[in-house]
Amino acid sequence: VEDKIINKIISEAVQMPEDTGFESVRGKIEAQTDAEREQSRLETLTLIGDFSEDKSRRNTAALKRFASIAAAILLTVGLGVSLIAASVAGMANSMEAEDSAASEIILEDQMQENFICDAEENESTVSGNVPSDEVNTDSVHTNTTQTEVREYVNHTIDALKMSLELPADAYVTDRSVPGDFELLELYGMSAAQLEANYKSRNIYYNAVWYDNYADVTEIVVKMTEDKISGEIYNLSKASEEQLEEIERLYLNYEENVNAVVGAKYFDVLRVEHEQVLFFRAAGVVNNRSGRSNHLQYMTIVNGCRIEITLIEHFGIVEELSGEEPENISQQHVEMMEHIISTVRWEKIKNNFLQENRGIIFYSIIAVVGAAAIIGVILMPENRKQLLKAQITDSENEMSAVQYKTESANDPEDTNMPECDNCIEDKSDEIAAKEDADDVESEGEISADSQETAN
Amino acid sequence: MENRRADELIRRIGHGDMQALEELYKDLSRAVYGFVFSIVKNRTAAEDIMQDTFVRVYNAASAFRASGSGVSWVMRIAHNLSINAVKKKSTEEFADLQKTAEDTANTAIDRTLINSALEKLSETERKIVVLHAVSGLTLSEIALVLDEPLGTVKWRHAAALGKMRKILKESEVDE
Repeated sequence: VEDKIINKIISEAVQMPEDTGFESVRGKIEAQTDAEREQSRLETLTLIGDFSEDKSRRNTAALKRFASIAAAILLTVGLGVSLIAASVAGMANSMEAEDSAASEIILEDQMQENFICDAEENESTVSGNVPSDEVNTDSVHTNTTQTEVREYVNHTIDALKMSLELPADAYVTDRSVPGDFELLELYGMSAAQLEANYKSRNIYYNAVWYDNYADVTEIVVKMTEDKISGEIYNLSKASEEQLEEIERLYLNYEENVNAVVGAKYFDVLRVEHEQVLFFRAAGVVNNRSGRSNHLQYMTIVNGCRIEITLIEHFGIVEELSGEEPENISQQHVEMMEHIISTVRWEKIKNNFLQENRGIIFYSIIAVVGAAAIIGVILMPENRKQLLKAQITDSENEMSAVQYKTESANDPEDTNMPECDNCIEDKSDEIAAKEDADDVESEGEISADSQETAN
Repeated sequence: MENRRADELIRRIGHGDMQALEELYKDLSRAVYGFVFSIVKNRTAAEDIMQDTFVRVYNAASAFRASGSGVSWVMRIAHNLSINAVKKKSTEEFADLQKTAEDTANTAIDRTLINSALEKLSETERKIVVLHAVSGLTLSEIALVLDEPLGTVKWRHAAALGKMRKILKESEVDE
């Protein structure tokens, strides 16, 4: 079917049934008053809108349409990315740890946890898995006289996805304490009680041994998730201000060290590690079990605060108690330096927000930009409303003009308007509106026709 | 009708030349009616709007400045008056386009079919094909009338014709 035939058929389909005479049009025109004609003219100009052959205007309309679609897409994508970023960031803050502490400051619970053996049930117990060379309590004491040249065994802490070397002769245990764990009798508690003890103190690994430098020495590995660890995520990427704040927290943490229960930290240093940055702090703690010297390495990695603390206990095993050194022994300091050097994490993750700062930034820009574009697109609607208001004003003015004209022709009407130049003034204003119409009335008709078309 | 002639007539109308308006009316009234009718789908309403279009052309002609687009300018007025009329009154109040079209059918092809094909077009597609058919406006000028991008008009025109051809071919097969 040719286009011509289709056009012909369409023309016939909408054909005017009979010629309508021009006279009726002429009659309508002649019946108009000047005011009505002027009003009709203004309405028509508004109706037509910005009629121009300039294709750029229609291209602009098309561009606006395209921009609105693009803006909507940008808005959607931007919001989507933001939501994903927020949710992933939230997920990143929850690690696989079985529990989480809610300590508000980094050392808040420090003084309570430092010796796992200070349970009231048995003040002289020690914890630990049965070491590789099965030992009994007697052999523990024997170990205190062993040579200073120590051997180390590498341990993996699955829950923390990290590994470290610990003294080969230490009793070590994680949170899964077997029911037949030999040292439970020494601790005076069941395996479940010991597990609960660990969990309540966020302890994930514990190594205990005897040597010449303290009654009992242990290493405690703790993991805590809190607001600070979530914010800093990786200590090695913390700002200087954050690092200084942590130092300040250490140094200001000074419970009454001479009281029954007290703690004090000093010698706070930053220690670079192959994977992370540690804070190293020496401290003294008093509790019901006696006095203990601490050497703590703390870092924040993967959003978790990890504390590896060597603790020298004195006064726990009475027969071994001797002179209590004021500071941690140099041998233990060197031992900790070695242990810390062996610490490895399977993977160091970056904070999603830090890692994707660029994406998030551009997402925000996209959202703001899209909002701005949409605002610009909607702008003509407001202008349209303004134009309508102007037309209404014109109608009122024309009514006033008409009234004045009629009044002027009525000799009995003495209520003449004050200004004789009003007609000219209004005409100027109307002419100005016409000019403005050409520029500003864009969108009226196009919007209408677009709506209808849609 | 040539745009140049339309331009000249509108300029004369702008100076109050009623004779020019009559000439314009003779040249364009059928096209205006057909286009308006395709939108309002009511004979009486289409006639009123057609006449109103020329009244408004007379009143607003002094503001016409575009050159070479006189027909489009008139059609734009007609189009927008039609749209306003449709908005004011529910289309249900208008008579069925198909019935009227059937009355005027006089070609070999089934009029019912062509009108049902028209009804299957979207509003914009129908406007484009009707405007093209009744006024002979180019697609570029139709874009001006409908205030649509030229690309959109071309695309929709092609789509509309495609739909109509398909319907007509199917009817031939059935016969």
